[in-house]
Amino acid sequence: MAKKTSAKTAPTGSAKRKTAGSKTSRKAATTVLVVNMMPRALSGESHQDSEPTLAVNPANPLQIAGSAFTPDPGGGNLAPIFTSVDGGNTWTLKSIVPSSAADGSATSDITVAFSTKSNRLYAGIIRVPFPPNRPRLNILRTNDFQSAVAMKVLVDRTGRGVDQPYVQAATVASGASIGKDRVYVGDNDFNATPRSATIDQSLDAGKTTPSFKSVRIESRTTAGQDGPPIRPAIHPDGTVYAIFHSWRTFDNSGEGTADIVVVRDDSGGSGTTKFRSLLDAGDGKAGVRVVKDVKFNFDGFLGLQRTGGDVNIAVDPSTSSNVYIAYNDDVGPDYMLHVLRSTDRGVTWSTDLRTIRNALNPALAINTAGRVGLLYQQLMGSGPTARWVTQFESSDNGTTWNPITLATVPANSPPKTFDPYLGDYDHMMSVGKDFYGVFCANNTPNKSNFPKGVTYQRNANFTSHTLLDVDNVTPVDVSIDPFFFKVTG
Amino acid sequence: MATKKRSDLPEATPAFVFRGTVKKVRAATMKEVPVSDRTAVVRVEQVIEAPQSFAHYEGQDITVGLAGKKKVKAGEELVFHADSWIFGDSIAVQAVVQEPVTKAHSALLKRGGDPTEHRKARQLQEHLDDADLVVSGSVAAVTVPPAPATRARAMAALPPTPVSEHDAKWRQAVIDVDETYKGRHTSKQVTVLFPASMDVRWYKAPKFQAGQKGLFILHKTKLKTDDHHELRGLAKRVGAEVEVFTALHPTDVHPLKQRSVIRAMIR
Repeated sequence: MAKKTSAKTAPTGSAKRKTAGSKTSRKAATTVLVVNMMPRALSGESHQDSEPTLAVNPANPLQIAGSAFTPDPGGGNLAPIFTSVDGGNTWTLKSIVPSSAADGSATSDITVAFSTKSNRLYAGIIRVPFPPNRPRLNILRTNDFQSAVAMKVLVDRTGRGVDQPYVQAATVASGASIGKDRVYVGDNDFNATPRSATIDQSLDAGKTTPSFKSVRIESRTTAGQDGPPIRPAIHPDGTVYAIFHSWRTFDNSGEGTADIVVVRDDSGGSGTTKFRSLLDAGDGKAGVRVVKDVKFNFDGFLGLQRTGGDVNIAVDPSTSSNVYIAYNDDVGPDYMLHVLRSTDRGVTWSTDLRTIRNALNPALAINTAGRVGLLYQQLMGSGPTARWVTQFESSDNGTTWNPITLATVPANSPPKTFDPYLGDYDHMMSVGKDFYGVFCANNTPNKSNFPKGVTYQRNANFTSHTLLDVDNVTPVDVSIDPFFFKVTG
Repeated sequence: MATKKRSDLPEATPAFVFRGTVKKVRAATMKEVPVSDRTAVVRVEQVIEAPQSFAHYEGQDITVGLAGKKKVKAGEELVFHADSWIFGDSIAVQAVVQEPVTKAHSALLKRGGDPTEHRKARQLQEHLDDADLVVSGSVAAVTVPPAPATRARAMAALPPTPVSEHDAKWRQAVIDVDETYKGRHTSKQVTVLFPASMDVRWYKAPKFQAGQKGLFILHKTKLKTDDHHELRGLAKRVGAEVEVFTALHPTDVHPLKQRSVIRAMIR
């Protein structure tokens, strides 16, 4: 019997638990929705669809876009994104991203973000083809993500190469620039080495031909360059933060040390000196070194997933003074995830609020109630029984965390096709009180792998734990798929 | 012939070629398709050429975004050349060309065979047409490209090569040539540059191994030698552009048993 769904919006056991440090019980039951995003028409696919991001349209949360290393199933010149128009319950795959049929009909990096009020969807991609070792940055836009028209190219840059573009966007809510889209793309721009950490920003990205400016946010001497992840976070009051992996040392073995640096711009990059609002008390330079000299290995692995230094950041929508960050470092044999907080606009920072062994892909978001959400993927166990556990935790105070296991899947199946196995990042954001996120995992249709339930669109038999082709009969190999989730606040 | 262009990208041969009957104009098989005068429900009567993801739609209704402005009517039989658009519970494709069935199509419609194999064969033909050198032989050695004699000075003269997860990790394969099928090569050996990286950008490129025998479809490629320190030894002077043979496409290596097939396709 083919069974496509074991769908539940599952109340979490901890939903009504009073949180230490919180004065009020959480009245509404938390519900969890997990959906395998692969459409039914692609039931026969077994590609490694890793490295996901997600964009919920704040102006209409029923509209959601997702991205992964999914190639165009037709092998054309456009790569696809995932789209939902019903709040993530169902998904389609739509090919609208510039790519190249001769180079695999995909991207080499992709992130997506809606602006807050304009309904415009932006993307930062590494576009193929690119000359060897010179990744090609494209910043893209569509005014209608349901349109069949390819996304418009706003920026197309190669030079010495640009890596891992990570886009965030917001519509200015008040003042002289009201209604304008501000877009910030964190990227590692090798055209600026040795200070490569960059924010490519536009203060009016919605206009026909917007201009983008490359803002170099590294103020210190580096080991030739910064690390790949540069992550911006936007607050409605105009404050923009960014976190990056500021490389201090690096040798040919792939090992190095880095500072975890947070920069801030109080006017969204509209002033003459950009991203220099936050000065380090130690050296007086722009960007607070939250943690110094953390170890990383650019050639390291945790299970089948490559490592090298993850970072993430979220700002509290109700006050831009409150900021959470997450980062990874090598501690002995462990790839350690750390979570810290600032309540004074990044000037000072807490000690570790959370440390989690062998966990990566941290994603943070804070909802309108001030509750922080943390998404990560942890390697549990070792050898053939090892599992990737995808965990969502939330906290009202940064001290007591309510965990929800979204997925627990075999860590060594399917075999790796390419790097990255799960992705060098995943993603989470909040709209109102709700958390929306995406992660990649082994797609075996097994209820016990998804403790809070899961919905599959693609054909699957949950009794025999078998994926089925579009004929609903022929077995299909297990692969890596993107999974959408929503946790109501 | 009506055509439709969705972007400013280079033209690629449409992925999905089929004969279909228009069942209803201004309609779709999925709620996610924005219905307009240029969308239609079409019954796929015959799949002519297709990737795997389209191959099984014969006899089924799909949505087609129509090319151009010319009106089509329910009941009309057309040959569609289409690309992907939307995959959901059903599929929607975007026609690049749609044309009435005429005698000119008779050979195409009667050729039979597997539509996915037809597509692969066409792609291989295009790839061979584009190749600069096609040889058979065996891989004598795989090495890291040699460092230039003045490596230390050269390295000092260049900015450090940026480190990226998308690094190609260049290696060179030295092939002992048995036979040349296309192009000219005076030596009995040819050196081919290939990426050893398993990053998403490069994993599909063939990974050569010493002792490997096969047919190799090679392409002249210009690379800047400061792209990667491993390439600097290939240049006569630092910073120069060097022209090398590469094999970057998954179909650039074939088993020797394909010899007669490849030979017949060379033109």
